[in-house]
Amino acid sequence: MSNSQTAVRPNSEFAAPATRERLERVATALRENGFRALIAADQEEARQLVLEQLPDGAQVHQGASVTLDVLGVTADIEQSGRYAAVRPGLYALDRETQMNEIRRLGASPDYMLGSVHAVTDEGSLVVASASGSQIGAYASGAGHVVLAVGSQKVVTDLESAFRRINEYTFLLEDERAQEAYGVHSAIRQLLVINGDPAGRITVILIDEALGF
Amino acid sequence: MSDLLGDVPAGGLEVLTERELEILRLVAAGLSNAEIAGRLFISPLTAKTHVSHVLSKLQCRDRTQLVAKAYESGLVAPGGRD
Repeated sequence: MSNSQTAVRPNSEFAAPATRERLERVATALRENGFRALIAADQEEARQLVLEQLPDGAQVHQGASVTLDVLGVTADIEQSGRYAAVRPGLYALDRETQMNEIRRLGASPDYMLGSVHAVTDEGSLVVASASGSQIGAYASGAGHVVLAVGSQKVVTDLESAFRRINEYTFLLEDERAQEAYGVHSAIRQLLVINGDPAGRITVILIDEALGF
Repeated sequence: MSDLLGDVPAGGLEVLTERELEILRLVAAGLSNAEIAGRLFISPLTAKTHVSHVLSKLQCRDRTQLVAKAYESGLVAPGGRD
């Protein structure tokens, strides 16, 4: 698992969208593993399916997600006034003096939105993170987790998932981090979710390549 | 599922999206919203929303009219159940 900064081009093998038939097989595998799995035909339907999971007034948090930004969900959550959005409140807190409050608020929202970096044919989810800020909420902290996943993130198995993160996702995220924050990204934490017997996690597979 | 995504006949259905045509084919096949949701891996609420949009766009009162419209337009043919 390398995270060295090299001038390597993202492996385009991991940019190819899965077929509809494969998405249906993945959704079935996810359901067998206890996840709630849906398939959106396009971005508009994906946005609707995400918002359907959220009761009016719900406390909603989200990590940085290109997928959610592109779908328009970020704006829905933070600007519509329909939800108690956590992230704007976090941004308003002082990282020097209010870090404990930031940590508590971010770790246990009622609803956590985000995406993953790979989903396997066997129905496992894999998330990589530099800060780990979303990992705790995904794993157990959030009451409910809603993940929107572009079809190009489907891989055969966990080995391919890790390759996707190293050879594709990381390179694009590193570029994004440099533009957005002026720092390099890194693969410091990895979360693999093989099953969801508690039924906390809804996975919305999108029949389009979206995010990275 | 691919048989649901075939060539799109005219017949006044040009206003529908590809997804809405898919929904209309399933309505014409007699599926309920819950059954459509199950078939397409979407939620029943989303299926209901799609059906509402199709009803509105085709200016139909109910599902019976939708079925008639689907057959009249040639979107589905008698005996051609998926």
